[in-house]
Amino acid sequence: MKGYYLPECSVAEEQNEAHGIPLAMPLVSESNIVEISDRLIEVQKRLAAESIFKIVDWIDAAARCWADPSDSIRQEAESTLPIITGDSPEMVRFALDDLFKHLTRPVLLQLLEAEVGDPTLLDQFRPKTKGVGFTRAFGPRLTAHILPGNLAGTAVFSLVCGLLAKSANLAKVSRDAFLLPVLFARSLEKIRPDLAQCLAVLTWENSALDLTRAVFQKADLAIIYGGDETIETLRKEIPPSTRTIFHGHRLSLGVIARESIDKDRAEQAATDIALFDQRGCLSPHLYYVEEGGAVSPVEFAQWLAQSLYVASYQLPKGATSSEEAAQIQQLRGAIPLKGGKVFPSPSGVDWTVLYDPDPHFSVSPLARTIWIKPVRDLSEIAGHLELIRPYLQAVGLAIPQERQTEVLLSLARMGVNRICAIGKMQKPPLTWHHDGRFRLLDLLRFVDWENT
Amino acid sequence: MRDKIVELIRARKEAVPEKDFNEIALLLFRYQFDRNPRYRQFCLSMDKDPDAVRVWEGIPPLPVMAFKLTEISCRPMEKAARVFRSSGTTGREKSRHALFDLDLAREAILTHFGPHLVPEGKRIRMAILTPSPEEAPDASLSHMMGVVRDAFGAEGSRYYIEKSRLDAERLAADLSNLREPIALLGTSFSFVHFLDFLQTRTAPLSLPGGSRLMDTGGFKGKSREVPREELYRLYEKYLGLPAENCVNEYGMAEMTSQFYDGVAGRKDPRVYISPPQVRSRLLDPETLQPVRKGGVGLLAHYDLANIDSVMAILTEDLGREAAGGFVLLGRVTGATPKGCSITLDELLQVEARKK
Repeated sequence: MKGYYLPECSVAEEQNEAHGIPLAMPLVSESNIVEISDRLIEVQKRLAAESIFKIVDWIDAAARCWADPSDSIRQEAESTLPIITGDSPEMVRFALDDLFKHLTRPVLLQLLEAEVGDPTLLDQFRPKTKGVGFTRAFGPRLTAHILPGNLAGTAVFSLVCGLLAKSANLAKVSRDAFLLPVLFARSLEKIRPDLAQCLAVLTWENSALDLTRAVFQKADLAIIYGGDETIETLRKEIPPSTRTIFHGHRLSLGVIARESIDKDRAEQAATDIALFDQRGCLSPHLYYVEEGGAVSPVEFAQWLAQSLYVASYQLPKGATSSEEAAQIQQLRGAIPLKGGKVFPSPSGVDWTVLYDPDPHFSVSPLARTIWIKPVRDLSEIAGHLELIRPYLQAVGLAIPQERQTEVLLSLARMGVNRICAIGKMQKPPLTWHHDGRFRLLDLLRFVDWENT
Repeated sequence: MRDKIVELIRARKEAVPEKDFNEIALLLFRYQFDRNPRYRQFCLSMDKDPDAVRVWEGIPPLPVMAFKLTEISCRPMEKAARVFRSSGTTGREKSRHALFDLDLAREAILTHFGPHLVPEGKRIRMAILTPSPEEAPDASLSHMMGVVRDAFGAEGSRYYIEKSRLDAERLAADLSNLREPIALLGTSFSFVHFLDFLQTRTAPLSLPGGSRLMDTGGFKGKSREVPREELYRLYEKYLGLPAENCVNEYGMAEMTSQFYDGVAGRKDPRVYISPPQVRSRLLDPETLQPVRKGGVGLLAHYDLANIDSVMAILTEDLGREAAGGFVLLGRVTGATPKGCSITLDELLQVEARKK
């Protein structure tokens, strides 16, 4: 199997193997990158001439193939993704259904309308709704994507936004998460081979900065996913003329008011924790549970452990690394010594609920490890988030209507950019302002023609 | 019990039968269970008490993180001779380990350091790349350096870190034109800083034959990361020290004893060998059951020299069994989670920047 996607160009290959699957991985040089980028920029002219509705149709057709269980690429994904990523087959099926449901025509049009207003602005000059003259949107000729290794869906989504902006896309994927973007590109190729030529999915070592730099030099826009360290390193490699969008690592949490503690909430929280084994930026690390209700936060912790037990059958957990397991074992043994309580899975490290009276925000080692921390009053929570302010992403809420306004505002001011119900944390709408920004609009450049 | 432990420390490892180690370990377990309330609490949560344990492997190892969260000691910490604090890489709190018996700790340090770093048994001049014990009284590594300097350091031995700054110029000047061999001792990241300094000079140093080096600890955040093999190449290139003269020490603030992966001047395979008073186990990270022979596991150390805290410690380090000891496969401490998250290290850096 080819571990990369590269139409009409060839690169040297390295014969590799991952968990018994033979893989041909690309060995790219700096001159390859230059050549590939030039080729992509050339092909982009064809994409730019297409109507935006045709592009939407093309992505829609591919998404429909992915939704079909008998489709050959979908089947290939279902059989190989669990082996390569370590996710359970059930989780892979859920993730694929969820992702491609969002990439159909009606949803894509919704995104275009929400962000650009009139989609035909991408095809032609249109009269300005306010003011004089005309305006038209252009995407970058070439977008460089440095994609994350945690969730493959994010990678596919980044490429789709690039295509909707009529941009050619050169993606560097991580060595663990190359498969889905590659298969996605192949599914587009089946439908419109000529347009699929404006995609390239490659992988190289993070340390090969000369290659990354070469891409940045050719691209108009760089979209970069990664932790603080990656961003700090890559920032230095980007020429001033290349626009950048950074998606750093994020932290999410849940908040439960004393009136709202019940078993349903525990079940919904377990879903948020179990989906993607907590690897997403929307995955909760912690739940603040308010004291003083009919049910105590400790009881909630216990219920949550039971719900995680049920979830482990519905959506089995994927592989846990030794590093993750080691950190979980440390917490399991040590937390009770400072007054906490642990509700672990009966064997192994399938899930762990850590009840800790210390209200400071704690980062979870992930892999279905969750902190439950009591607070006397919901108004205290924002103060405990000060330290992680720049990293805040989503908050799942279970608060009675009449108490919501105040809490919502304090969380929003703190930097949270998505507030939703508990149980919905992993199911954001496509129009969610990821990292508080527009997802497509941020890629575009608007040209005003003052025809006076 | 203390005398038996000292006897054990002084023994040759081959001369310590399993029976003797077991006997002392069980005695010490009972002592620590009785005197150390936090450890007792931990043992009871694991359903273990001294009456139920017959072999040392049955003594429950306390996660090293516990030292960060609470006071782990058999005696009141304020009466300790020294309280060491770890560099605190994974938590808000630094870990604390109290030492009450400096003589015993001295024995544990020297009887193992000697054969590995000064196999000739003669004093040698030392260049120490850590702060002095006076400057860093709560650093276990500085304490250890003080002990080995007093016992094995020849005239001219000195520390090269003052007020957290490595005096690279002074060190380079002192190392040029040496006639007698020297022992360089310090943290790996200090050596990386020193190598970076040497790279900017035109002529690399060439230390006299028989010179040796001991490095210890990781890099996380303190310097650029340099893989082991590369480090040995750089030691050879810039200091003229062949790899076989370089020994790595593996220790932790929560232990009294140390491990070394070689003997200075001898080209042996690199394996960490436990001293006679320490036994190590490899446990499956998911189940905490012993791993199959040759498998990878979490290291749990049983250090009988840890009389007044807890001898059985579950580390965050992964290892694999190797001839007579173990190889280290990396420290989990500060590992980046697989998901979209940040490590506590990064959080602490954010906090530090804001202050």
